[in-house]
Amino acid sequence: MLIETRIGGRQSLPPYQQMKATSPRNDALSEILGTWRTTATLPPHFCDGVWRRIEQEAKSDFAFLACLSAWLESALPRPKIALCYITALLLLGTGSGLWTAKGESHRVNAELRLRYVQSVDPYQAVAQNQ
Amino acid sequence: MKRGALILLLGLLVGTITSYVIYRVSIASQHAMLHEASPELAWLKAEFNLTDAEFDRISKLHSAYLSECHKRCQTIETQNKKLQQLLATNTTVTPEIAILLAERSTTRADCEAAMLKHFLDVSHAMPPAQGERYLSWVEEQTFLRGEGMEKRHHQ
Repeated sequence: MLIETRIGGRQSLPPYQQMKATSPRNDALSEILGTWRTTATLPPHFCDGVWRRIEQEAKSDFAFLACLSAWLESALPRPKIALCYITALLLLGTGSGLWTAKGESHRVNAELRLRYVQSVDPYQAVAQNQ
Repeated sequence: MKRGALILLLGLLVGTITSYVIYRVSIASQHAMLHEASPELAWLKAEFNLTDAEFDRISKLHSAYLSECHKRCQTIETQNKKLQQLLATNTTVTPEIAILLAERSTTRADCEAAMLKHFLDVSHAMPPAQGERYLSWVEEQTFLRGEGMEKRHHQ
């Protein structure tokens, strides 16, 4: 919205930045706005429309579940898709198992290494207990 | 929907079971080590690829060393107690305290020498390459790296 300012130029600043409380022009605008009354009526079923839109917003939360459900119904039972899905989870399971085992293996190795060092070096055992 | 849901659940089940089985199989040898009579020696065997014969020899060396090490630790403990008693009744370094400190240092030096000898014996009981690796590793991990009070004073 463009408003002509006191200095005469057309600027693209928002109206609240262009208005000045001391401007007599703004006082006039305020006066006009204060006397403004509308006689227009709301369109038919306006309230129903508002409520319908609110309901649609609420329903959109379940749209993802509905899509998933539809996909399960139509795509997943197809042999190729099902095979891909099972294979993917098989690979994911293998990767996850190996990754977890790697971490555990490191932990056990570190623990046993420390136990050996402490068994042969009493100073290490004392330092560890302190 | 039922068929799709069944496949979905089947996939998740297959993934979970695969993950668990792979984990158990991969970690089996490590967990078996933990349940051995001497887990730390079992680790040594696995880490330095020792044969059964080498492992037996090293296990014997380890047992013999530990028994002597225990005796030396007891001696140091006795000396520590005696020193604490002397320090409780004296406010100066008496000749008796000085002698005891010297004796304790000698016992500690004996302890360190025995430890070093044990490391060398163990490394000799291993194949040459593994023996060298063991020695350099043990030097890093034990008193041999010399990170005692000297290092603290340099900080």
